[in-house]
Amino acid sequence: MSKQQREKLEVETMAFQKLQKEYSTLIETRQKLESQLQENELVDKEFKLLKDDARVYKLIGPVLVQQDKPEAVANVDKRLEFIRGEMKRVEQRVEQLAKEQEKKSVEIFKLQMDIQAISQA
Amino acid sequence: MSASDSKPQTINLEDMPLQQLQKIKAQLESEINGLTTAFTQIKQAQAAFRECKECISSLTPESQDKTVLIPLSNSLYVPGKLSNIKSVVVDVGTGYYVEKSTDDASAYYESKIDYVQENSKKIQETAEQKQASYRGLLEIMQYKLTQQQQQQQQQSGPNNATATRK
Repeated sequence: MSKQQREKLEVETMAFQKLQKEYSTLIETRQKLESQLQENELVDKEFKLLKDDARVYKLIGPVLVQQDKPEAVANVDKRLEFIRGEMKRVEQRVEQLAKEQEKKSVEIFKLQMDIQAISQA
Repeated sequence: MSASDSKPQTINLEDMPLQQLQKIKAQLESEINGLTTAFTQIKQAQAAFRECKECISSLTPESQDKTVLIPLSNSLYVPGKLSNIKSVVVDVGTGYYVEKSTDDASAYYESKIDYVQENSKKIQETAEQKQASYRGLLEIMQYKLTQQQQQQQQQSGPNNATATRK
């Protein structure tokens, strides 16, 4: 009985650690996305200040290639949209993971209590 | 999340066990460290923008048609002539470069410097706040430690007296 529960506790702890790991990588991704979002927003802001006939270049490898301003604006807008969507997705997953973590920790606590009760009896 | 957490924490910091206080201390330390590195990074960014601005101001009308040496690599230069001193190409981020007049570019860097300055101020403020709470935490920990030591001394001394009192 006790051995079975001990094994279960081990399994649950492993699952909990896995959740924690995924959680921290997600937080990292979110941070990266946030900085990307900020940089793109700054570029977007800068583009809005430009006249339509302004000369815009895009860095491709080591070469600056001239690009039409509307095209560049559309590009940045699309990127912003994508990053925002990605942020939302990550945010949802973070919330979900937080809930799962909480549930698991409660389960583990219960198991520990059970084992303690058995070993004391 | 941390903002809502810190409130109840500060209220009952004194009731918390030392172990937990130690954890909070480590957390505060890493936060302060992170803020300090962010601060130096932001200062570096600001210095870079200042340098760019100064470079633009060195493009005076007299520099028209001046010969310059253009670096092709770290150690190889070819002579060239400044043919256009009215406009420069500015890196606006994410691989995009915009051609601007020197005045516009100067204004651009000025606004960047201000923007970074504002952020560095914010970072400094939060760093100071964190440092203050860190000092407070250290004080409480010190207090708890001495209290614990006193208790231990009392227990090791009149052991029977405490037993009977209970």
